[in-house]
Amino acid sequence: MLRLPPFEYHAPKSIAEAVALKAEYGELAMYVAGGTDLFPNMKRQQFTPQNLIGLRKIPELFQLVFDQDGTGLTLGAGVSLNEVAEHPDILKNYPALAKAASLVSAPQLRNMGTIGGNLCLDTRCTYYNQSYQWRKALGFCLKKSGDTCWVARSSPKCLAVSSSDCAPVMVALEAEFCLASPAGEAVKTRIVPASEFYKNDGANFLNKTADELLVSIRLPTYYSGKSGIGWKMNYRKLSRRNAIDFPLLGVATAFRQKDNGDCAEARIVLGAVGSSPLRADEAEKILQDGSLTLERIEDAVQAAAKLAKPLDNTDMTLSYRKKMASRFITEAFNEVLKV
Amino acid sequence: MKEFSAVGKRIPKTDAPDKVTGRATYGQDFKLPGMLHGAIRYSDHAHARILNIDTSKAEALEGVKCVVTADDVPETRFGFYKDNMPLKKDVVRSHRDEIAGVVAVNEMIARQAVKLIKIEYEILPAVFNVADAMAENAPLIQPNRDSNHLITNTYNHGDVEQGEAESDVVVEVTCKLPYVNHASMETCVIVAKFDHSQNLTLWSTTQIPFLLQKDLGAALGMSPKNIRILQPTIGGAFGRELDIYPYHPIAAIMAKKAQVPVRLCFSREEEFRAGPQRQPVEVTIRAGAKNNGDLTFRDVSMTLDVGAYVSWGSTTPMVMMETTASFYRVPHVRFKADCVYTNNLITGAMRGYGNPQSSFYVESAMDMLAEKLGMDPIQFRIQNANQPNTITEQGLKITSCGLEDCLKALAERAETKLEPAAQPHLKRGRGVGGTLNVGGGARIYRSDGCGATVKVDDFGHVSLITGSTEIGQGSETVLAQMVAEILSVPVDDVRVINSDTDVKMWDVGVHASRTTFIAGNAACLAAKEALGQIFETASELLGASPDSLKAENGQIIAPDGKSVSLSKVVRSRHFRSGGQMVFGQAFYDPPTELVDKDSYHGNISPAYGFGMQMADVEVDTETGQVRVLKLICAKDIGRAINPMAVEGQIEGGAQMGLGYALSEEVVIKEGKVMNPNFVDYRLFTSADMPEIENIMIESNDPEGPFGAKGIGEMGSSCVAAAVTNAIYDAVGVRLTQPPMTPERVLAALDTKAAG
Repeated sequence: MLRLPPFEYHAPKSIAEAVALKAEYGELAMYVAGGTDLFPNMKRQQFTPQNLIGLRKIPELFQLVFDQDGTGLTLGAGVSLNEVAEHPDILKNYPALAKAASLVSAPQLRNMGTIGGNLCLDTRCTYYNQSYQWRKALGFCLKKSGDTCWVARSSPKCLAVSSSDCAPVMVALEAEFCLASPAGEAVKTRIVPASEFYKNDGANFLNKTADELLVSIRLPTYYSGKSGIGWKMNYRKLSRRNAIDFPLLGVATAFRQKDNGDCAEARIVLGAVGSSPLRADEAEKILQDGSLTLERIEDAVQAAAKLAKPLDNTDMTLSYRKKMASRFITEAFNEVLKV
Repeated sequence: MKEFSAVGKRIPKTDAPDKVTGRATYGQDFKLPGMLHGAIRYSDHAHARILNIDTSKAEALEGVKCVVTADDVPETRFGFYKDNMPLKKDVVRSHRDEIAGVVAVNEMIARQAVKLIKIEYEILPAVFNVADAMAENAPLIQPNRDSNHLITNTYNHGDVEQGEAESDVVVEVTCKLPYVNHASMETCVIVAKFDHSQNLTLWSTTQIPFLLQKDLGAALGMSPKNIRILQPTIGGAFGRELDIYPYHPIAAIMAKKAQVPVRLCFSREEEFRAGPQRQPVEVTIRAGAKNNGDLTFRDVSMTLDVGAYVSWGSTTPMVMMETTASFYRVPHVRFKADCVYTNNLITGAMRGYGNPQSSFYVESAMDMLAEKLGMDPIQFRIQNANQPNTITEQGLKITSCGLEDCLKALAERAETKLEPAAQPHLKRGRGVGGTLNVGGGARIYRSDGCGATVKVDDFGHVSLITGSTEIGQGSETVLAQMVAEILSVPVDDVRVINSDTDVKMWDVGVHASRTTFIAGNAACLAAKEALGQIFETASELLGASPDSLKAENGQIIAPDGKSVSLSKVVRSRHFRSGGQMVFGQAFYDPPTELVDKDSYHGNISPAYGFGMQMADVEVDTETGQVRVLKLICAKDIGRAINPMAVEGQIEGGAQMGLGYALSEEVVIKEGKVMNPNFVDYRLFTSADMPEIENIMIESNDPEGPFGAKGIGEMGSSCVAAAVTNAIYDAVGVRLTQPPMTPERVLAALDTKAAG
């Protein structure tokens, strides 16, 4: 079997200690939370850290706090995906997030894997997620150690795919990410909106400096009123199997409906069709402030589907994934709007 | 019928607790004092001339003991066609080709050192499909051959032209069956050790310890008598370990040069790259029937890409021809298979052998015929079903046969109609598929035998020393049940010893669903001989004739009711002047024959097993996704020695078959595996599994031990056929290329919609 290369393990007990260690070791160190994506990548040498900074012993990362005044949720980055998927208050207030978390991989990996890890998940590509020897034989690619993009040789940037299930939901719910970094002995924090946290470049896909640590996620409150009034949200995932697989397409939606059933606000975010989650602004505009007629929904679907420009670097054929975009987005809309 | 005490009982596998709690010592857990670790350097190209190998940097790496290349081994060749060698010297013919190996203090350093070996190549033109390999002026893959064409297997009975002339309906379909991998939980692992007298001991996950002795001797240029093979607990094999592969001799070459024991363990990627795959096939079948529903003819031709070296994959036509010629009654059959070398992966044996392939095309054609005839697909099959005590045109002597009972059981279940789907874009359908599988071995080697020794010790403990091999199929449990039944002792009192070629008697290997049948018969014969000795001594103690005694609950009982314990009988026989131990020995070789080498006629198995499955599926016409709702498996198993183990085999087989049908495929691009890991190679997961109903048809085979027949392979063979027929029933498109992925289903639906 492939073995983990040797590394030194550090177990800081506070965020300050963690970011200080990262500052000390710099490029030679990486943070590890659940490790479900990091360790396989270390075995195949996409990552070659000599120091791992374990985050398990930092209590702040495991908080899950609803504000007393009902203004939202602060979710520690170290909370496990299973807890996000099963927590009754998350199920009630953020069902799309709970559903996205529940659809990641398999139960064992959701017990180990964390929400922060899933939000920072490395982008994926057929030509990248291979062993060192496999990549070396072909020639290293743009994302790691090489200068050719094997997906599209003329591409100046890496086309690896954002494959997080939770990231599109966070963008749709306009979450804010809290990043910590060292400031001398102390810690400074920076708040980044989810939509700005992701960059559409497979090799450089996070708006996060090397020494920053994602510590928590802040979610605003979404009131869902009775009889279909208020917010409705959903996440729908297309994948080959019911377990293990990364999304081929993820559709996160949030709609606020007026008393008369019209759409007051629409948020539509696609996952796994680019190097970042893609927000379907055009489609949102079509639906905003109007009645949800079948025609408008269809127009919105087509506008959203235009964003999906699949490349030959994930599972399933290109033509299938092209066809799927509009069909699957239609089903995603139908599911949340119960049209 | 006599009530059995051990046979027919639902007993959890005796090795299960140790396996699930991690106590079992698998090959990968096995360590020897002073053992070092090996790693293999493979080719970087699909076809190239090796100009130079520079190992100096690897040798200089701290922790490296030695590097081996072709220079460290006599120029030997192995394999059926003597076309493979342990380490390649001049030319590499595929991405799997082994060029060098490193021995180091740990696996990581060995793998690091392997990367430091510098190889200069001259790249040669390569071919990656049968058509290109057969083209004029195609690059020759193996030297000393006129073309890349390896062999043509042909079979005939009757007159196909006459059969077609007599047909009222004729159908034709071309199917393409994929590469799939065994995906055993444990990857290949081997530990090799030489002693000072140059005797080699090998701890190996092999399925063929005795044939491996012979093959390894040839590969290493040494006598098989100096090779001893030990088998630790094996974490799945499914046919992968049925042949010698280069890593076996390489481990020995490493151990010889390093002069210490060396362990060689595959990564998952190596398992995909260097191990064998299920044989891919492109096949066209024409078949016909009369208006009254009688089958008239089958005409099958196929091509097989066997890769750059020949392993068992090239013999899968033998099994496919058996299904083509003898599954259901067909008066006129013609079969032709062309095996061709390419620069692709090697193909080997895998559970079901050629049957998942042949079941797919035969049963596709059966459903197409039934539709043209307007007949119910199950009734159509019943009309043409094989019958007990018949000899097929090919010469298969079918004795017990529960095919019709299997079909009738499914017909009964089919009376309950499918519930309609919840939404209009979801369509439901139902389909059946079946298989004919050898039920007790296959004489593909001069002997299809197995040896057994049963010894009873002074405490009443019984050892069965069997030639057979346990690869997770449950043989240790069912063999213990049979011996316990004969000796009338608790199953827990029987231990099965099966892991050392120096201890156990010869066995051809674990394949062809043969262990319950062949090793079972050998164990029963040996146990009966031991029981005879027990009765002989007991008759002295009880003053009754041996013939009048019976064994029950560990006691030997005379007609007058007097009894003596089995252990006391053993001690009495042992502890006396001129004493004797209790032990029985037997070698069972079934009454079968090798097929004729030209006509392929002959009876290769002492029994034949039949199985049918019925799949209920739901097709999402928007996404092309297929969900299997229910799988009903009706299998003629002769007799269930252990119904729980039979269910395990059928359900495990169903999982493998569903993967073949719907999700699994080794994707190869220019000879290189694109998905050599379990994220991208999509095994069917527990979250995808449907409800399974098992129907065991007990046809009580006359030659089988307690009437049993083999069941190891059947479960996986006919799933894809049932699923493709069910998809057709649901949405009216015939999928001809497993895995029937959403993209393929959707493409077929779109083609149909476009008219």
